[in-house]
Amino acid sequence: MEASVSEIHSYPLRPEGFEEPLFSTRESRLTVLDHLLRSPWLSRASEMEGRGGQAAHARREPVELENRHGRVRIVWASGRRRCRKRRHVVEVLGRWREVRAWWDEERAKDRSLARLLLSDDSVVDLARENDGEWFLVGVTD
Amino acid sequence: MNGESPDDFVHLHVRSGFSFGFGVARPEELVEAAARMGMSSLALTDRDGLYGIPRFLEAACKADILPIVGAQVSTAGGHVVLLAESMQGYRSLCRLITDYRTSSEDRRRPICPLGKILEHKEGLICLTGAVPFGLLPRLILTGQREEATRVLISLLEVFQDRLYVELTDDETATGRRSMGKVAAFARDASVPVVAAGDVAYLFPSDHRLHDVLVAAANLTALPGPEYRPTDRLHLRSGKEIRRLFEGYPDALENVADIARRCAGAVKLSGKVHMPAAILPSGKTAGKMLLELTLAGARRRYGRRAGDDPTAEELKSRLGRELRCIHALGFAPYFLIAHEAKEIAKSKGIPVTGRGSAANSLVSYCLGLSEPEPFSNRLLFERFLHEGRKDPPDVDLDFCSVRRDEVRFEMIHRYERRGVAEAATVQTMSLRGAVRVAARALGHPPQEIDTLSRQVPTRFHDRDRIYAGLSGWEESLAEPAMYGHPLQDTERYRLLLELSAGLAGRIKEGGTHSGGMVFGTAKHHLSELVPLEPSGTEGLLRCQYDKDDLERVGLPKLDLLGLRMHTALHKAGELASRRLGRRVDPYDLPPDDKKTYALIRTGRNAGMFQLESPGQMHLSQRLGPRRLADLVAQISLFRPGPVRGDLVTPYVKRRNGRESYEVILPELEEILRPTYGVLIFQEQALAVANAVAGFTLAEGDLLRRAMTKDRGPGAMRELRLEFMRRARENGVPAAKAEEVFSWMEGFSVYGFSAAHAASFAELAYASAYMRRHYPAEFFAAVLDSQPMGFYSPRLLLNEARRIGLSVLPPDVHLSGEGFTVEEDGSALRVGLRYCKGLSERAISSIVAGRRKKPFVSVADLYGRTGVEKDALENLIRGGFLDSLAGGSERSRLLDESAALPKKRRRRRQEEIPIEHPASWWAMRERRSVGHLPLTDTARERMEWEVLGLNVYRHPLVPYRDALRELGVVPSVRIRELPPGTYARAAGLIECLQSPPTKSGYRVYFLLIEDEWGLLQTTIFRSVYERCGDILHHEGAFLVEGRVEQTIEKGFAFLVHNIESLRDILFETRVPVPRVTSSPGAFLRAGRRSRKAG
Repeated sequence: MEASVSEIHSYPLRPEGFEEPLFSTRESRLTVLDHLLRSPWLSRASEMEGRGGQAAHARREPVELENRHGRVRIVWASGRRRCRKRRHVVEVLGRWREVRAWWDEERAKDRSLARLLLSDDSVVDLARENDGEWFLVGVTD
Repeated sequence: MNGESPDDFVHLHVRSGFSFGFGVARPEELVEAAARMGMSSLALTDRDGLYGIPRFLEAACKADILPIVGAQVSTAGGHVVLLAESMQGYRSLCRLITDYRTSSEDRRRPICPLGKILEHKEGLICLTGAVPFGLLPRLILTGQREEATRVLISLLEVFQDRLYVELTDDETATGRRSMGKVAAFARDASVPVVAAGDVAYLFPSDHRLHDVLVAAANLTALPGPEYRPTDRLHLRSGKEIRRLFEGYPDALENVADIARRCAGAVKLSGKVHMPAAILPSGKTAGKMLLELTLAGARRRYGRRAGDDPTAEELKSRLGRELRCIHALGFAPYFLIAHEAKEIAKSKGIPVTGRGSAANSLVSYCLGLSEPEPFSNRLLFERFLHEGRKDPPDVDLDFCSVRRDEVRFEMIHRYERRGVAEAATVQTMSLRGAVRVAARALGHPPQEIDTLSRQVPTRFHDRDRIYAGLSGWEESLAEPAMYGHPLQDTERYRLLLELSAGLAGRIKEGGTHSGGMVFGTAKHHLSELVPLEPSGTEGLLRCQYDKDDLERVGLPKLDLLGLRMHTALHKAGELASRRLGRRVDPYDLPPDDKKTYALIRTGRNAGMFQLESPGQMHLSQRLGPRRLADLVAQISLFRPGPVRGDLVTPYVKRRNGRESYEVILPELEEILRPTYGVLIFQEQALAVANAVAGFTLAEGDLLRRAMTKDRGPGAMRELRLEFMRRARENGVPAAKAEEVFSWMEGFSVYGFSAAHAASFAELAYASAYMRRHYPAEFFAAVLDSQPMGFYSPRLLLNEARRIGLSVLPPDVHLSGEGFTVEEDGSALRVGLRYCKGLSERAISSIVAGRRKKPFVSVADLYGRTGVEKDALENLIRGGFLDSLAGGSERSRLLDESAALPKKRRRRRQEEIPIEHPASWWAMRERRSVGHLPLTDTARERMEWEVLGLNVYRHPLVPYRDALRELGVVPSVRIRELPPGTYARAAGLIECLQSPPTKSGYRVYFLLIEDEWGLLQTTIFRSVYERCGDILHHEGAFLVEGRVEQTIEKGFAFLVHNIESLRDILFETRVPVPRVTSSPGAFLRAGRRSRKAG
């Protein structure tokens, strides 16, 4: 589709304070997300070493999983005030294992991870460690 | 498979321990697990080899699983998986592996060019490799899509509908995404995809072992190269795989398609691939064998034929044997063995046969064996008969030094059809596992040495198995490990767990000591088994070990090196040279009374097969007087007869102290030569024949069945058949039952009379040479080390004890090896015994002294190729004492220290003078350095450099002190009355724990004092209390009680052990360096006498 300059200029201006939505629809949001997930240059927060700098999104917060009438939701305390957040799991986007540096007690990791799409459209990584506890280890969105 | 059961899935990409570092489980374990999981088929695709295939096929057959044969082939850009869909495919795979393995630069990391894979496509299905390290996935995931397309097109052109893009998900964070990319690429290229597991171990918990093995294979600490943070390379169930691939239904369907095409397509058993002999034109193998056999029979029997055996007997037996050989098609095999023997004869290389082949009269006539079959009651059926399905096995022993001349001549003659050495498979001992795990965990080398020292070396210690954590508990409780760092189990928990898991795992492949395999008239050897470089220039080895070769029907011809041949040959040469007449150790007067008298004394050190403490003891009890006694003696001192306590009745009956009765008159003739004791396997055949009317061939099958397939069902069937036929033969049921039980017990320990007879001839020759030419014999044995039971140090002391003088080493007088002087009454230490002296240096010394004698250390250094370190060793070993007088060895060492480290070049006139600044240092050294050395200090130096006690036994200086302690010389202890308590002192030679009749652990410590050897017996309680001293010290004071019975002979039962160093405080008793070795916990050091 092509448009002339005059046509563009004739288009009405956005009202003051209007924020252009980044994604016009839920589908377009998922398309972009899928594209990003396949990008080799993009690292998952949960894959990053350490907690500072670029791994700002890597966390390790205890999470509770609740099954409410067949719908799974996760509950965790967040922020400085430790407010409890509750989100339903909309979709499991992926599952994987991480068995890293088992020979080094300090760096060793042995856990199963799942990437979840939550009811607030956020995508988070949850890890289930050997003792059965769940942790929020990354927020990719 | 798919669709029938949710658990059924065929893993098409599976590595076992035979991927040497890239797989963990044994093929049998994988098959067993697959069967347990309800899988109907399984592939084995080891890295660059088919090593595990024969045992995989056998295990699959037993587990009722259809096997798929394949290999993971490494290319420069990653691997591909090739699966054989027919026998043609198997041959292509063998040829391909041979091709790239023999042409790769690094034989341990072979790389296959893509072109070679395309060349050998026949009958093969190609998978493009697992994600992410496969050939295609690697290109795709690294963004080289054009190259990936090019590779895919090349493969597609050649393999067409036999090419699949392999999809694997290792369940790492990036695994799924990577697989998606590969799948998308395949979809774009319209190439079918297939689901695979990329299996490297059995259970998720084994991932640690896998990671350690990968690191070990690359000699790095963890993480190894291409490390993947996953534990999902295990044998996943069908359900798990289906869940992973639920978005790829076509990938699962294609697995079924491939399984249909490949499962059970390769069958390797059930056929013998007889090698093709080189024949003169117009002759068949059968005809040629007949001619050679008849010529041999004329030579062997000549005019004797007609007496015993009669000409008729001879003719009849030869006819029977040749008919059997012909019917089985084994004539070429005999011809090849004969050819190897003829090569040796033509080159003057000593050669004899061993093993069951000596049962054959044809072998005897061809010169492949020495024992005469009739007089030794050897039965052809023990070696070969029409009912035998596995290939025959002829073993030839050559002089170990010259064996390669024969081997390479055979290679040269047969390379057109392919010839290679058999492989061996090495598994990890517990000690080896500690080393591997410690290195992977990043411990420094010195710490690795400390951690692994004293750890039991053998995973299997006779009947005991050290496995799992209970193995460690057991090992850590061993006295050898008292105070060991690994006792800190908390600190070393991971190391202990890993090493326990690694012990017994497949470590690496090796080359058999002499088993050669040949191609057939129809197939080049590389079409029957993959070949690879052995590490020895010009020598290939096949990827199957001796058991696998038997499984696939490839006969192996053993061309072995026997150091006793080397020693006997050399002894003969030395004796001939001294006496000026030919002394041939292979043509000696039979039944020499002096020789047998020497054997009966039990002082048998150096004698072939008769020198171990047990054999020495048995020699005294048995008192052999003829060759048949030696044959029995060699057969009796084996774990089975010892455990079955056959020795005592045999000895008693042989010496007329016990009468015997055979349970059936039919057995009288068979058992009379062994006094009613069933010793030989050949006798078992004859017993089955006499009692149940079995033919000898059936008897052999019965014997084999009893030995190998001893399941309760099989044994019951055998028993019923035996009883039925015995009844038909008129033998009472009770008697038949007794005979069967007897044979059943016997099958565990039976020994081939043919093998024993072959060894007995060599044992007699060595005893004869030791009796009549002792100096030459000991010189030759000392020059042929490592060989036999004893360390060179002990052998030299033994030579001194029998009256030979030991002359000191001398740079002007010593030969390359030991020399015999003073008309056969003295031995002089040779140059080769000097530690660190290379062959080149030895030659230069010999050449240099021929021109003019050396006058100083500097002169020797300047005129020869002796390196600085070796020069110091020459001085310390006493080779240069004649240059300075015995007491001034330290001055020579000073002179040597002043010499430049770098040698002068050819045009340099003299050795550069030291820098003047060193003058003060020289002066200072001189003032303290030239004190004469004490005798013990000098002897210690010699021991360190030569590994010998040249001057005297090391306990001589402590003779008075030991006498004051009440120590009784070893020779006198034997004469003490039974029940006497005594003390003995000596240096360790060996500590063993062989199986016993009762099954209790008993330890035998062999010590040597000034007068001889003393074998002491240590029971478990004493070992637990004092055993750590045995492992940490080398000279002991042992207290114990003398036992002497007619049945058992002499024994010295130890009650207490103390370190001689502690007892003789303020003295430094030198001790031998001991190491663990197969068959012994500890054995005195016996470094190779090869120079360098």
